[in-house]
Amino acid sequence: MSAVVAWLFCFLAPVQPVAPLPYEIDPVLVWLQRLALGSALTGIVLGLFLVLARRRLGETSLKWLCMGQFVLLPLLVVAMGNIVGLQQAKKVEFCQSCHLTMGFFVRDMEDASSQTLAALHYRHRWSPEDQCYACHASYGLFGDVRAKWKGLQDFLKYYSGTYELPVQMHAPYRNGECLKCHERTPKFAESEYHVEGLAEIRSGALGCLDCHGPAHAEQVISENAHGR
Amino acid sequence: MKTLTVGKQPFAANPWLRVCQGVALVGFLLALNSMWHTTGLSLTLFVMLGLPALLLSAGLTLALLVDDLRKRYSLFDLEQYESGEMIFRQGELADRVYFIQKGEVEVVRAAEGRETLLARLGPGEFFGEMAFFVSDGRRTASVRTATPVELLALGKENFTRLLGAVPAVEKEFALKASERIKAQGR
Repeated sequence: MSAVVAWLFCFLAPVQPVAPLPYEIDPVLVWLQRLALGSALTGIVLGLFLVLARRRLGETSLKWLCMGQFVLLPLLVVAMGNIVGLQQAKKVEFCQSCHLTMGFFVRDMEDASSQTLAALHYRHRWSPEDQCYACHASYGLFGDVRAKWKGLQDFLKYYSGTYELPVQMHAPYRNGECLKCHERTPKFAESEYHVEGLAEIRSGALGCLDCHGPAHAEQVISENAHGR
Repeated sequence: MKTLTVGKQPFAANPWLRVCQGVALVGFLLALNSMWHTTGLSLTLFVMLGLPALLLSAGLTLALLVDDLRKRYSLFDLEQYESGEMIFRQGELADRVYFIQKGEVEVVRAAEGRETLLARLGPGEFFGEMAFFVSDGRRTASVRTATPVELLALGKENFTRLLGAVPAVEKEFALKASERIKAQGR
């Protein structure tokens, strides 16, 4: 029941990302989103038209209409929906829509005086967009798929109430998520600690956060209890 | 002008069309919700319900359209028989007319416990039409294969529609049927 109510409220919920600057908008993604929305709307309108008028249409017209409405438009929506959905799913507000308690970390990230790694990355535009995703999903398409698969599992656990408290990270943070951007940079190579300890860093024996942490501000445990 | 397809219901009356409509509507609504405001819940519902619904709608509609096309344009069914097989028996209700492509068949009639060979037909000839010119619509003789044969079978609906549409063809078939009835009487 709660899922149905939450779904209904998706229509009403305000879209509230930090407004991007004009040159930060990917025009392809915008048009894909418009195309997907337009196709879905057209599908609904045509569907209602078919309910009312299908017996008055000629056989040939009806078949062409069905071909468009039940075959072409759905395939278009499936294709566009996947592309747009996966891109939208990388945004901070998307992550926060399920990870409710992460609001604390997001606020810290946006805090201009915070010295946590997340805040520094955000402030200096090192990860200019999709901040959660940049550090918490592994590199490449496989990383995307794994993150979404894990998200789906978490979603099912959350709505079926089968999760356990206190909520914990499913695995220790991997150095690879830092090294995928930093390892080949001049600044990284300048540090003798990095050069000498590279094998240990790569293997995870020496954690990036051991020296550079904390990644996020500390949060009291009661805030992390999901109110269950 | 309304196009009719012989021997089947109009496409608009197909009950599966309603299923397609319902399933597609669910998929479109979930897609719209997800695209409009992508949250974990809306995206998951789209992926778990919307995508399967839209793909099901597309697959089902394609299957309906292909099936409709097949029925509409496939007037003849190709039937193959081995030698000595019975194609139909005397007294059975007739449902199709046969045109011989390859091989030969024997037309036999049983009466008073005796079987009489009426004709041996080959490629280019047809049989099974007589039942449509007699009152009860039953086979007046049995037909079995004399060799391996390949037949084109035209269903009753299509055959009667053909006769109605082309009077010259009806005349030819009626003439042939009356010749055969006469031959059977001798």
